[in-house]
Amino acid sequence: MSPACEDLRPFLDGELPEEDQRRIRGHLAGCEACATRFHDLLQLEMLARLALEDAEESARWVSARQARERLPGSWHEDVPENWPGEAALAAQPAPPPEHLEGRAWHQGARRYRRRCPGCASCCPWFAEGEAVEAVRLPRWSCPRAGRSGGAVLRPRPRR
Amino acid sequence: MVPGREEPPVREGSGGEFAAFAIRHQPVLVAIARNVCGRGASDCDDLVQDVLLRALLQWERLKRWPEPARRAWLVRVLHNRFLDQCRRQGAETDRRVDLHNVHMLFEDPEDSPEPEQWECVTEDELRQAVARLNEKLRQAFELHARGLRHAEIARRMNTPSAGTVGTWLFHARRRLKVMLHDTAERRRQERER
Repeated sequence: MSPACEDLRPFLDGELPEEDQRRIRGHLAGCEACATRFHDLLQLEMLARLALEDAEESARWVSARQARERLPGSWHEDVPENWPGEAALAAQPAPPPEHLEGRAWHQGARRYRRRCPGCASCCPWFAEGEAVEAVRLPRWSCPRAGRSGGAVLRPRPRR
Repeated sequence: MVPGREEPPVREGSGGEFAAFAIRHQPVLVAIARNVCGRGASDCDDLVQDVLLRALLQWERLKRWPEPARRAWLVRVLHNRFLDQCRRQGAETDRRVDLHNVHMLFEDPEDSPEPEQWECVTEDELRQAVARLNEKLRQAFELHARGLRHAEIARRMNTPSAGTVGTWLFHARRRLKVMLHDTAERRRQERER
């Protein structure tokens, strides 16, 4: 690897002094590897200059990206092109509740609590009137506590 | 096209198509050639003239190609002619085209055996990828693509040194290459099928 190889980008940007430019032109004439890299840089340069010459078009892409980033879940790279904007999302009706209201839900919650003793993370009535403590556990049977474990609320042991 | 710039009238037909092509690409070619040939050199004008002349001679073929392929061809010609110029300056072997070797203009060593990465990327895809760059890299790259020097970019972005701008541009180019690699590869394989 020649020292000239390091300077190909500043050379393409026209940022080198005349003396260094001459040195690199001389080097490019004989070095196949550098000529290939330079060709690659040239292709990107040409494409970028053609694509970004229109400032308004480029600004439209940026605002589209920023709009997408405000949406939940948009940290994922593969956001589809036809992803609805915020207005479309707000116009949709609210999603139905995840659980059934009423006695069945309460009984189900109690049953669930029996399966998952000692965890207040998943049962909304657990903490009511009971003394709890937050503990950090390596692994907990409750699926909501996360796979790697985490802080959960459990009844404080009676002494 | 740059907004606000006066566009000369373009004639209908094949000549008009070439005129539109040349009017769009010539300023970009000049900007790049001026950077690599050294400022104030007549080599720069010769290089761009040579590239556009070859495009005109090959136009019957080029006009049927998609835009990215035409662009890549133009860059290949620019690259090869520029290397010729470098070799000429080094070894003083004159391969300038004159009446004795004018047939060289019609020979086309610029056909690439297989499509390159940048030949498989459209301008829209590049714009999308640039929009995904982080704020500083994107701004620096866009200002650079509009022809600003590193020092000017540094001034506009309130950065103390032009060297920092060079580093941002380095990272921007590398990330763009990585981001667009998969798309280009997929398209290349589709073409080969």
